[in-house]
Amino acid sequence: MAVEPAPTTAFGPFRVSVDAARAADYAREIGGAPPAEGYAPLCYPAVWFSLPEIRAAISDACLAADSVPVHESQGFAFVAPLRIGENFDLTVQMRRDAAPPRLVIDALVATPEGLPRARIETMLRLVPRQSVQKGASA
Amino acid sequence: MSGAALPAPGDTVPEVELGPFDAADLTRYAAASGDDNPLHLDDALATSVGLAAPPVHGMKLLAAFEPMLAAWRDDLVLTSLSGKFVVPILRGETAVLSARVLRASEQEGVFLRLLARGPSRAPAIIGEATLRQRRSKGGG
Repeated sequence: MAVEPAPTTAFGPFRVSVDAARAADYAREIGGAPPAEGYAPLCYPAVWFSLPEIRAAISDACLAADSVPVHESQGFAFVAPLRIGENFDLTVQMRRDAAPPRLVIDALVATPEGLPRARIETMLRLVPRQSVQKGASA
Repeated sequence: MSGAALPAPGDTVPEVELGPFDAADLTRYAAASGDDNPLHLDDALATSVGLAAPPVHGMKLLAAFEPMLAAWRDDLVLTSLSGKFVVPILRGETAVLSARVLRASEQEGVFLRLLARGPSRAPAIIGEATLRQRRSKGGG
């Protein structure tokens, strides 16, 4: 049986920036000192996944599958650190895999001039609400 | 090259113990990160997927490797970080973070294996990080 390629949905680019107060809050909650030298914590771009369009897409996928999103893996790779106050463009691609059911989210952070600064890879396992799943962390 | 020598394969980073995490910790992280997935905050939902308590956000733990590594070698800067969330750390539990150098070179940087363990000592996160020598002030 032929396997259909999983459809990919693209979002953005979204104009985002590193907010100083939020970066300080984030640093505190991960056990770090306030951002040094004016740079955001490396994992700070995770906060941009709460943008309404991205949040809605994740929520819709979970509702369609009657599932709870469970964070399976996460990766960040930087060309250069993100300076507080600078603007960036965030582009997101989201793919739904069927077996096992998961959302694969690839995001690219670039300068407004188009220079890549960071790549973010997120995998969310879609766990059916009634199932017992002890093998993953959220 | 500037300053101290690169770490050597086999070198270890001093372990860091985090937690125990309470509901307020998870609520504050949810607010700071925007990750308000109710699985982390709702006991009934956690139970519905077979967990005894809400899990600590995996990102809260993975991100905690950054200050740990910065405290170890402030002449190196973190350029990549990734992790697979294997077994959840639950509310009320502690986590121990550890890291070991797998390889290091001036060209490719310092590559580390990361591990977060919970009370059972089973791996909660298996990850990787790359550090590079810090450039002159203002560089990355």
